[in-house]
Order: sequence, then structure tokens, then C-alpha cells
Amino acid sequence: MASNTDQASLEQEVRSLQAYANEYSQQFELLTQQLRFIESARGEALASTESLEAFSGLEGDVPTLLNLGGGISVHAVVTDTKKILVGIGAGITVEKPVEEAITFLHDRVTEMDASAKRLSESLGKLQEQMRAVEQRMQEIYSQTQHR
Amino acid sequence: MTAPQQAAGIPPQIQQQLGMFQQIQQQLQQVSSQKMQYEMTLRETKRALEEIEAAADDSVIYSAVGSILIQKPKAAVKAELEEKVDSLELRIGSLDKQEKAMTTKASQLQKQIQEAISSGVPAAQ
Repeated sequence: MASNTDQASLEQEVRSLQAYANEYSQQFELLTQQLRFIESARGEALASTESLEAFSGLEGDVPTLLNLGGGISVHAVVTDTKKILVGIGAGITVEKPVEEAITFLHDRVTEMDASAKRLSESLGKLQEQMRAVEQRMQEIYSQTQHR
Repeated sequence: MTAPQQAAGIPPQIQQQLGMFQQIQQQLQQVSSQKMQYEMTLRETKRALEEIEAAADDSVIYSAVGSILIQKPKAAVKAELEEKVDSLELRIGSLDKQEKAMTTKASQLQKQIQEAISSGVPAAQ
């Protein structure tokens, strides 16, 4: 009788552990996606900063190649390298001097670094919790195997 | 044991309440997710508003209208963003109320189901 009670209790615990494992796994996937998104946006901001820094040293019309995707480009001339159009969110774009646009991007990168750090910490904690669940499941499995 | 076999052992009244509980939880998830999206948009809009307020009065500002950007005076863009903030805050407030009501309802149902299961008596309607 006691053995049946133990068995039922273990089954209940395994079900509960599986529910936790699923929940942690979903959270892990979500946070990983967010981290990938931030890393991609960070890379884009750094590439833009590099372009702006190159513009800031140039005067007059600048012949460039405008990438259309798929390895295709067209000739384009940048007529104003000192005034840059910056998307500030909510569908609004503001014209800023090139130096201010660079500062804007630097600030964004700093914020993204902080967010990425927080996300990495959360992912680390989740991994610990997932390991603990896995370990307990292993213990239960060994316990039932030795009966 | 398969799900229908498990369900067969549960009194119909509790089954009905479990169904209601799951439905409320799904609705709650939808409301929470919508609220989160609005909150994100609100943060972005407030941030844009701060940038606009800090910009000079004669700044060149464009606002997205469909797939094109149209140049607008700073005051007009500021008014648009303020209106958007107000509207978003209203929607978030309404979703917040719905979320709280659903959470309370879900807790009550959960309690009733737990009591019914532990006492072996069908839950009260």
C-alpha cells in the first residue's frame, strides 16, 4: 500500500517536473529569440555608425553604390553628408547633424548592450533551473529502476 | 491513461468548470499579450515624443503615412504623438481592468475546483 502511495506521488512529481521543463524550455526559446534580435539590431547600428563616420570626413557629392539586395546595386550620389535622417520610432524621422546621429546610435548600442546582458543573465538562471529539473528526473528514474 | 479515460473519471460539473477555467486562462493570455504589445508601443511613442520635445522648433521632421514619409512641423508631430500616447494609455487601462477581472475569476474557479476535488463533491455552479 505504501509502495502504491509512493509510486503515485512520484508520478505526480514527474508530471509536475515535465510541466516545469516545458515552461522553462518555452521561456528559453523566447529569450534566445530576443537576444538574437538584439544582436542583429546591434550589428546594424554599428554598421550604420561606420557609414556615418565615413560620411563625416567627406565634402560635396559622394558617389556610392546603393545595395538593392541579392548582390545587385545601383549608382547613387549622396548630396548631403552632413544632415542625416534618423528614425526615432513611432513612424517619426528627424533630420540631425551627422555627429548627433552617431551619438544617437551609440546611445542605442549602449542600451542594447545592457538589455543583452540582462537577457544573458536570465538565460543563465533558466539553464540552472532546467538542469535542476533534469537532475531530479534522473534521480526519480534511477530510484524506479532500482526497485 | 488517455485523456478521454481520465476525463471519464471526473464528474461532469467539475469537467465543465475545468473547461471554463482553461477558456479563461486562454483569454487571459490573449489580453496579457495584447497589453504587452500596447505597452511596448507606448514606450516607443513616449521616447519619440521626448526626442521631438528636445529638437529645435525649426527641425526637419517627417512622419510615416502609409509607405511614405511626409514632412510636418514639429508642433503637428508633437500633437500627433501626444494623442497617440493618450489613446494607448486608455487602451492599456481597459486591458488592465479586463486582466484583473479574469485573474480573479480564474482564481475563484481554481479554488472551487480544488475544493470539489479534495472533498469528492461536485463543485458549486
